[in-house]
Amino acid sequence: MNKITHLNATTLAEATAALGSNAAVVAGGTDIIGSLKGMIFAEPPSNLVNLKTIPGLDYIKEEGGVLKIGAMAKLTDIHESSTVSSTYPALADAARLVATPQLRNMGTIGGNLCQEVRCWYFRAEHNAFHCFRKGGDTCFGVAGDNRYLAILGGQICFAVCPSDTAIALTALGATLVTTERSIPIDDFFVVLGNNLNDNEIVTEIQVPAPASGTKQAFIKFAERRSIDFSISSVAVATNSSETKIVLGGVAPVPYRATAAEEFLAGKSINAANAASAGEEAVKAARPQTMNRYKVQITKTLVERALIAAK
Amino acid sequence: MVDEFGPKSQFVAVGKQNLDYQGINIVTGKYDFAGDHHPQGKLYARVLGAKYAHAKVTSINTSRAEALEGVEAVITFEDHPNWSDTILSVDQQIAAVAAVDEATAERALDLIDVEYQVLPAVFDPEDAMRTDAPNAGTFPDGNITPSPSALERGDVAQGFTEADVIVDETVGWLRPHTHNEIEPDSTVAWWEGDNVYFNIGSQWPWGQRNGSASALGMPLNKVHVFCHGTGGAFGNKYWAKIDIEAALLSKKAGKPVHITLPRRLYTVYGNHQYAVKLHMKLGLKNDGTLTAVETTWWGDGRSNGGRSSWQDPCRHTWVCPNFKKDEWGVANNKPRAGAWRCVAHPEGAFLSDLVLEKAAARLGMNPLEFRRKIFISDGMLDQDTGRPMRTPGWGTRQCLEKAAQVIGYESKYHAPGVETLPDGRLHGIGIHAHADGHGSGGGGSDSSVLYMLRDGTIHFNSGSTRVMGGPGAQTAIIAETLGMRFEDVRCGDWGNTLASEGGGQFGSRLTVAAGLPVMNAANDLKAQLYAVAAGDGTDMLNVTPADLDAKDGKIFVKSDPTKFVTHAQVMRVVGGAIIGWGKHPGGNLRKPVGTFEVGSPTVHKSGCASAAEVAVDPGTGQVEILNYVSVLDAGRVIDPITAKGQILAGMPLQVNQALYFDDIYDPVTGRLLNFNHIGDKMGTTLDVPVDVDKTDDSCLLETIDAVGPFGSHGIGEPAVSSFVSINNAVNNAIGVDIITGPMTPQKVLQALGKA
Repeated sequence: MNKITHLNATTLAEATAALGSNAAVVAGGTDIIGSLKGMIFAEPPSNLVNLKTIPGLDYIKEEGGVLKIGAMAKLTDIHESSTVSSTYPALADAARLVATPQLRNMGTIGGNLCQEVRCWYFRAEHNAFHCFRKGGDTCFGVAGDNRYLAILGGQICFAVCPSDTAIALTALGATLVTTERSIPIDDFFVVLGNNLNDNEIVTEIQVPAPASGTKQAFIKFAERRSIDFSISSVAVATNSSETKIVLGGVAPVPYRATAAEEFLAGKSINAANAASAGEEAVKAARPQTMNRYKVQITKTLVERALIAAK
Repeated sequence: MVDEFGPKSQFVAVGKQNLDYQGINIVTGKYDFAGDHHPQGKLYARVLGAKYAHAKVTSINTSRAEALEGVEAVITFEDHPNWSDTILSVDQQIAAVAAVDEATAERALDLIDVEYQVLPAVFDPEDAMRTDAPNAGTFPDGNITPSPSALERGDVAQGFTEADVIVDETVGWLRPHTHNEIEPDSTVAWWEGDNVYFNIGSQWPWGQRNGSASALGMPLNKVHVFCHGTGGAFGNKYWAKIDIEAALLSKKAGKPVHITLPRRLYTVYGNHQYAVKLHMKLGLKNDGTLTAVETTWWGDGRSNGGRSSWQDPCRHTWVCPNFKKDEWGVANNKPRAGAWRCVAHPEGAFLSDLVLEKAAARLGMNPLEFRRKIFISDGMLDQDTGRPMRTPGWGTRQCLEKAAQVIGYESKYHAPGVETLPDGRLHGIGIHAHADGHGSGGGGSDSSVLYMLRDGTIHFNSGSTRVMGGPGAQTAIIAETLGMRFEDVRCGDWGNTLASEGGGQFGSRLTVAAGLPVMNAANDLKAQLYAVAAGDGTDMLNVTPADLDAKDGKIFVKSDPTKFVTHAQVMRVVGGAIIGWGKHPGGNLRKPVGTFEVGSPTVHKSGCASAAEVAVDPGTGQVEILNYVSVLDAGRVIDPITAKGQILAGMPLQVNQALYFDDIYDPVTGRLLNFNHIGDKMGTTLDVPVDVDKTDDSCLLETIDAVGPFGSHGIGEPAVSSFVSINNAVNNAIGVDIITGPMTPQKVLQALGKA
């Protein structure tokens, strides 16, 4: 535990100026404080920049057919928003299914998108496992206990994207606005984290209004009913011209199940097609020694999400 | 219910809702635990764990740590009598630092330079049993105890020759897991002259005094242990786990030293439930009669070679004159195994019941009928010793029948794997019962001193501690015995070594082990009071003591209750405080049982049962509990709030054992990976739904124990050991036997061939 300076930023300019390679942002604080107390960092940040003191970053509004959510909007406010739940129910459900009421009251959507992975090798104290994410050259989960790690898209690091809202936002085609640019969410996540620069902060999430007739669903499977991260999750957005299926908890980034999407192209969604889409979604899966069960669960969730979409 | 104590309605304190006056403070966070103790100049200490699971420390250099500003004392294994340079598991303690704050102490740990000679390690007990396995460092040859803990009653070989059916199964390994009580271990140690004082969270202050004095080479009368309260203990806080390093650091620094283990180390240094495997061979008649039971058990854990008493539940619950057990310990390089809520009974009940269910299936018998056939019953003597049982049939049969009735087992039972609910999930039903331990068989080490003060009220201190509940039962027993009001008897807030000896608040033993000494001490006081009250002094009653009785704060003449004196009036005549003293009389009958006379030694067990109805999602492997009931034989309920607390707290522990608790170690390094409450999937209130819990007051059976005070005995361990009905229900739902726990979605899907 190192000594840490703490800045209550009052403007985004002040916050970005204070950021750098040895600093971390505090949004809701539910991830960073636990990470610091857990001493998970190989080189812990020595400066914390608090965004809660910057006014006006927690809005939820619709403008010109686009949902705009300030990065500091609380998860509770998002899932309780009638705008979100009526037009973007997959996002409302994803926000509602994060953690516990207390954490949702603290946690922000910006923080939910930018949180660190939950891999227990990465999170072991005192850099006990110097893995790829910490600058090392090994994923300890490959030879170790990989029951919660990736079955799809793993390369170098097999930790899975822990964010539930990212899965729904990917299905809804969101764009992230930062202090420097706009990034389509498909380009935001990378295997070892995200594409943000050291001094860059996510400020807004923009979600285009779904095309008329679009049906949505978000389903999460976790071992516990609360305080738990996804073993697998599925977000679906489907209309007459396109079906998007995004998988969470099974890959380092939100994973587009393109094979299942292509299978459904031009087809109506019924029980048989949904089941087949579930099979297609996991065809590319490469389970490790201990996580074959995640393939079965993901297949089930895809099928159920397609049926449940409304 | 009528027994030798008279009708229950006559009681004034026993069985009444006597509120714990500290309860509000505890639930509102105002109660002081050891970590809240802040003597002047207190330092904070952190402990350094070894980097490897099996190693020899070849050098350790603390000079950089000692030079850090704010560090006031550093010790290593060279200073600590219980530490070693031989490392047998990751995070084994090798050094500790006391500093002005926790952050400084933590930083100093990184400045201790340690070099190791790393040795081959083994973690999985199945691997450790192989002849080519690395030696884990416990035994000279191999990793298995040189000889088993063995027992045979009757003639097992002959029993098998008489059998119509032989069932031969191997089940396990049941996974180990850690404790996870709310309060991590805390201790504050300080010296006054050559006396050392500890403020700790403990379930056995007297035991921790013994351990600390022995390690520090001090006489017992210079080691003083105080415990204001413990935020959960459960068999994890009865030995000097962090006290000795705190004392050594305090002596070196000349200041009080506080250690609270961080959650990661707390989960490593505590006891872990044993990982256990069972090979069980049963000889059976076609009607279900057991002709032979042969069991071989393997349990991991290096601290005691792994041997424990996993066979207890089946040995004491099933009627079988021919019984054999061999228990082997399997050493490996995981952290210590030991008591977890109850030593060995949860593991033993789980594994032996899996085989029982397989036997019922082989015989084509309904599992409830099979249990009715083989369970001990009223009037039986203990099969090992021929001694009487303390409660009729140990209450086990009553518990079984009650659980079956509440859940509707007979009408809902179906063959395994055949019933699907309208939503597509698989329906399962399960039942379980066994005779569990409730401690306090001997207990000569417990005693009690009561002070009746000059105003007729009582104050006493207890050598046992408050473990998230008040000493309500002891208080009620005293009040009832002396005919006093509950509120006129007060137990001191500190469990400590200044009070009379407490033999430890574990093993479900306190109700009997501390209850009998306080009852005897109260009877001692009563004799003194009656001698004065019966006299002919001013306002006294001028009768013989045998003519007197007491109730509601009055000592009255039995033949004419209008003639009475109050306890306060008697004490005014006495003129000062008087002392009542009592000790534990041993596990002997208070009332005759069958042909056995008062004073005969007994065997102590109590029944427990559960029944569960579950739905299993075949697409995801998720188990939902639809209905659940837990039934306990309480002997007699002395303190209803504590008794209900046991059953309410037992419910989540049962569900967690069946479905969630699972220590996960890295197979390469042996490091515990799921050390926090995110990784450790302890079910929360949402996962342990109270709305499906059908347990009510009628599920606390009163069978009137033949030894315990007012017929009572402990229920803490039975309340957590009888979870197996959930697992039986899962297997009933899926029609495939999962033979390990916990029954996670992963295991369910594997059993269904889907993973």
